[in-house]
Amino acid sequence: MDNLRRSWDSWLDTAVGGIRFGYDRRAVQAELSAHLEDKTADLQRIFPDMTPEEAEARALGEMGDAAELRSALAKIHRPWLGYLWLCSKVLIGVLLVLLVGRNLYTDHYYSTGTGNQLWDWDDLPGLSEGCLTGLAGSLVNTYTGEEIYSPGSAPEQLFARSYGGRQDTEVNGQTVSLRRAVLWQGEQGQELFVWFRVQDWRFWERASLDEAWFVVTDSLGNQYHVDRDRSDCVLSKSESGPFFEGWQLYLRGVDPEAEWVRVEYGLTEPSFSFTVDLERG
Amino acid sequence: MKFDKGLVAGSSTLLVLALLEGGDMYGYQMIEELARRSNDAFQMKEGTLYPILHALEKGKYLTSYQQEAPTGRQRKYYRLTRRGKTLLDEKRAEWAAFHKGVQDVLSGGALSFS
Repeated sequence: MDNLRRSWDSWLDTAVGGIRFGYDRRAVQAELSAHLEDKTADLQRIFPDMTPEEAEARALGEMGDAAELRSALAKIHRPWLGYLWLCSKVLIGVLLVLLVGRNLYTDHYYSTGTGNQLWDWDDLPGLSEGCLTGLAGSLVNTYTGEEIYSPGSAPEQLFARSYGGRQDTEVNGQTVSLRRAVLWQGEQGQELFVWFRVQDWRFWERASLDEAWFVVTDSLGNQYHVDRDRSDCVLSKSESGPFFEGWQLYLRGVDPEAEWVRVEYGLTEPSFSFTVDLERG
Repeated sequence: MKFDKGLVAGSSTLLVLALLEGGDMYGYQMIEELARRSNDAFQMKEGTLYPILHALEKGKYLTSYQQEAPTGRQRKYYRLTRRGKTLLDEKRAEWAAFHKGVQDVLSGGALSFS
């Protein structure tokens, strides 16, 4: 029995010995081994008088010449294809790790993103200073913000709205969407929180916003200056994912009589803007 | 009857593809089915089936997947792809033309003088 097993193993080793890529070699060996076991079991079922040793020997005999099989299998299972496949798997793994690592890093990185801008105008093809205004102007979309009002339990919360990303603006391949707005009655006046998101499938590119490009006004003509050195109108990064960056805009001292606040972003003309209706609930 | 090795080898791709047209199978099952359908006329060395299967898989004519047998052992099943079906149709047409040609020669039907 042991001798037979040894010749069985030897046959298998010879048959797959020409496959130089280890993963393929083990897979083919398992397949051939399963075949031999099936055949042996079948022979014993068909010929009940046949001993296990006889069945195994016959099964092995019907498989054919191991050296011929080795040559045929080696021609098909070229090692470089296997290594190419393995490399592509490793590469995908590395990319995933980098992607996750990058997002872990940015998730904990909150800043106002000053000194950068969301769109590098210089990189836009054929764009000169003269046509900048026209292009930017054509991208303007004002969010009206369908209200999904949730009064909440806190009496200080005047409203909370979710915009659900249904009203998006496409800007140079990126999507800017107003997500949520909440108005609170604080001790130092009304405080407005606005969350918006810039989405881009190109995960290797990260949107950043220049706070100097923001113009925030309300229905009464009051202007709010976004400035990280002040505490009453602050832009900060609030979230980050593989394909998006999110920001929170905080305004303190919103005029109680104001009916809306408009947030515009752009160098000369707004490249995007949205309006938050301040109708108190 | 034992056939010339070359005859069987030349039609092995057609036979394998035709077997899989009826459903997914693993290697040993194909050997058994081939013997059953041909009334044991085709008795190829069983190991020679695998280079054919692997070459067809590499050419995307077949796909494969693992499934556990009742004994707990993993079996590799093969499935005909759309590309494999196209190849089967081509091989069938080729075989039919070849068969007709041989028949015509054997029966003398291809020679007609008027």
